[in-house]
Amino acid sequence: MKKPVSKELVAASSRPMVLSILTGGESYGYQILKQVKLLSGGKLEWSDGMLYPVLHRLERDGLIAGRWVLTDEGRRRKYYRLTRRGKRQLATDRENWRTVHGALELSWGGRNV
Amino acid sequence: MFDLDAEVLRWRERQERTSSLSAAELDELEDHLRARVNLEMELMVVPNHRRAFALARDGLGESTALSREFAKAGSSRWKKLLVAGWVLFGASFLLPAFFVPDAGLGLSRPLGLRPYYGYEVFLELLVADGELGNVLAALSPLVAMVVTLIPLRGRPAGRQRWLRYALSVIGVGAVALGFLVPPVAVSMAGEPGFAQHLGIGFWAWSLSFVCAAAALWLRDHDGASVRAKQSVSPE
Repeated sequence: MKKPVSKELVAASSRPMVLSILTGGESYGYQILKQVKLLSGGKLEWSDGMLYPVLHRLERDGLIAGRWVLTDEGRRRKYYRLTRRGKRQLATDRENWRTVHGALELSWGGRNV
Repeated sequence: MFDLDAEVLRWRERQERTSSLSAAELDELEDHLRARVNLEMELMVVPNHRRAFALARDGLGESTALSREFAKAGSSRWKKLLVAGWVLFGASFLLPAFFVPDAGLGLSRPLGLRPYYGYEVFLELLVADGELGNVLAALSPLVAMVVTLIPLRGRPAGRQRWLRYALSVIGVGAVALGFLVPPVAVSMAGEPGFAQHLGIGFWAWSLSFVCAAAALWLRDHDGASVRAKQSVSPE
């Protein structure tokens, strides 16, 4: 069984991960967490408590915007959406991650490392 | 029988006591807990609600760790506002709170107006005549401002609600007093009419409480824009 992705890499990829998920539309914490698990096949281990500080940081930086909605059960739920600034940030992040990925691919030269 | 609502409430009360999370942050985490419990039960990963709740609660982690993570990411807007309040409060001691008639060299007619600085007002209230009412009037606002520093150290938000109200009353009351009832202050210097010359220190002092109260409010409600009656289907 493969080792889970390191904490450092998980932390570094959290921003583009959340921003990418929100390109699919508004979402809330737990749904985002499920998406992360689904997209990574469970290899990216995000703790439940880790997600919300990340969301709040992105909101503070203006990359996502949150709004409270009353659910059918009468409870408050906070939904997040991508802002224009977030879209620009995602484009930059995507470019950077592709550069890193491309460089690593080239350095490995197709060899199995 | 396991009562999910009661357990969630107990969890929330514990967080309020032991963490520095705001009401809005706890709302979000509570929603997370419930969503996870529902999913665990739907997927039948666990045999009962009790186990599902324990899993969800443990997944969120301990209150101290949560507080630390939230503090790292936390909105700094309320802190900036609180700092602004403190800057105004500090400056108010060094600025003229009032301009009082200057009696000059013992002449019966005042020569003009002299600034009556914030620290002078404070010291006069505190030590000049030693009346308990004056001492309390000098110290109470100072104590209220000092207590605003507690949230910076990560104390639970709910316990400072009274402080927010107290600061609002002092700040808004002083501003209203400055605008609407200037003659009230006359008795402080014993000279009729001086209160019509409120100094910038008075306004700085008054606004410092408004800023501090707003900072505490922002801390508890940051980002919480409830749109009631708008329904979104869950999951």
